[in-house]
Amino acid sequence: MSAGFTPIEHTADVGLEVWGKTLEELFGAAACGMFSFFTSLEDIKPSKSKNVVVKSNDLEELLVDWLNELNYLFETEKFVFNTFKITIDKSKFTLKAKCTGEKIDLSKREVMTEIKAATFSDLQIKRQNNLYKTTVIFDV
Amino acid sequence: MEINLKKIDNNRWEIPKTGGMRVPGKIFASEKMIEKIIQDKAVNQVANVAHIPGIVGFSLAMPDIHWGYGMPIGGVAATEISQGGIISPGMVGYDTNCGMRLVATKLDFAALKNQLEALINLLFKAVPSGVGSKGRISFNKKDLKQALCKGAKWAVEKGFGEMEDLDALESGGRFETADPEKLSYKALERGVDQLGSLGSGNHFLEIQILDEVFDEKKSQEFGLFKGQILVMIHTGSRGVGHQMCTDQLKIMEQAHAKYKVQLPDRQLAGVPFDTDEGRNYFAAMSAAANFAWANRQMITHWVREVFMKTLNESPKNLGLEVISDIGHNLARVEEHDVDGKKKKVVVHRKGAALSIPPNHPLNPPKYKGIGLPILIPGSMGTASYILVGTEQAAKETFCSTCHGAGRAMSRSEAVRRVRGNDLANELNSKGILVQTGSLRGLAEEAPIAYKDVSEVVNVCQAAGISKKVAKLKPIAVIKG
Repeated sequence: MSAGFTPIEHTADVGLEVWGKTLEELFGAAACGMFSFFTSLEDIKPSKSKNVVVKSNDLEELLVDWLNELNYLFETEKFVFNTFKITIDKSKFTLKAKCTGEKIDLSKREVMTEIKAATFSDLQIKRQNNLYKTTVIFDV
Repeated sequence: MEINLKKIDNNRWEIPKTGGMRVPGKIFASEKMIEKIIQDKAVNQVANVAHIPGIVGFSLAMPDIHWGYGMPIGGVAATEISQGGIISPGMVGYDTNCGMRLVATKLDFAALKNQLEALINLLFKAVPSGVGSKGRISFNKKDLKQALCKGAKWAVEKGFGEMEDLDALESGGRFETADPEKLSYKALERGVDQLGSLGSGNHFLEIQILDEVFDEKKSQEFGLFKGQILVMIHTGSRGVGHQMCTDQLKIMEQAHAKYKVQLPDRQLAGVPFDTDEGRNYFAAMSAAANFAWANRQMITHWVREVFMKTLNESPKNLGLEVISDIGHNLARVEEHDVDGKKKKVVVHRKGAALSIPPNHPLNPPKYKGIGLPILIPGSMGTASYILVGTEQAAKETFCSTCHGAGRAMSRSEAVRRVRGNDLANELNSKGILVQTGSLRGLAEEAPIAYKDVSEVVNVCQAAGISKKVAKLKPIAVIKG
């Protein structure tokens, strides 16, 4: 698979290994990975979309800010997204995305985890064998 | 950075000052514990914290230390304000003022054993808990800002509890340095629905019996007795604190370069306290702290209501009295003796409780001549402890001690090993009733996932930084 994520072990919190052929794929995979901690993504219907814009000062901060923005949308509007159309301007560390998914009903669907924030721990976006890779640890 | 740990005594380990460290590090731990601590990379984090500008004394870590973001959980660091000492959100934690409240009763087990199940069922209904839990009452942004300003006092003024409750709380349950205007729109959005809710993860409400008295005199001074029923509430500032910390970390990322603050880990980013950004963070942190105190005060009120309704007794007969409330993720401005001189410092405690001896000025009014009761929760279903602060803590740890058991296993590992249903049954068989909204969440908090709190508390006792007063055992657990 050209993009994806896998959960990793962490004593106090939760984490992901994420990869993608492009930065956009990496960021999309990281977002799916984060949402997968909340709930199963397979049956999320593409019923609503939201446009998101993030501006940061470096690439790692952009990833953290992107995930924290999505977490904010989950917490305040109960959005769970599983499809993303992302454009990243690497020189300005800016991201624009159309995020598609649905607003979930907490009384009808089990949500497994609450995330406080995405953190910078072990976060370093590297390019290896034509793949962008990073670890992301979330404070729960 | 390679760390050469030096044993000072059976309960203390030093990281000698090397390279960019401004002070040495000191970890409180037994020989048995230190092996695991080294594996965890937490030792490196203690050494990293020792690099921060203005740090005085030691970069400290309590025996429940484990790896965290920048600073380990269980970390304590004081920075001297007049020497450009920094304040750093990463050294406080995302869950600002996550803390423990202890409520005593006049009851023993016999008084409620026939209604225990009814009690716990009603408590589960009365206190919103679980992932995404919302408060029972709708507040608007104006109410929220009042709560952020006045903390527990706001809650009492709104009818949640009594003014006397505030005398037992550190800082009266309110940081007057709070400024809600320093919180972002997002922090307010996250918080407005969550006032009066427990949350999830390791947050809980437990009913306990006082099982063992270690210090008879102090127990009496605290209003405790063997066989007494008590209630423990563990929660923090919910989304307000999380968002505030996220927002402030971003500000600090930029600001720390402006003040030429160099750090070995970007998650320690901070600025001198005595700057606009430093004061703004402190004001925002104080507001989030007040949210947590308002939150715990509201939950206390609902606990009282449920006890009164279920047991059909007057408040006087039930004696539901707040014993203490201490935050363990906070930065506080305090005065301490450093190298024989009184200095004004910012004491960062991230997963560490206050340890204040009798007659110390930091005591709340109720405990002036007594010392502050410190509630140390064990993992779900295991023992908890009530401690008192010591002079040794005032001399050595800026009036700090451990805060709990500390995790020893990942959540996914805990869920692999433990089935929520089996755990609930096991707890029931030990005489502990359980109410939870998530069996998976229950499994994640299984006792095997945590260190042994008795070991942690015993190291603090042996080191003299807090003293055991009583031991509690649970009879009911409510987990979100």
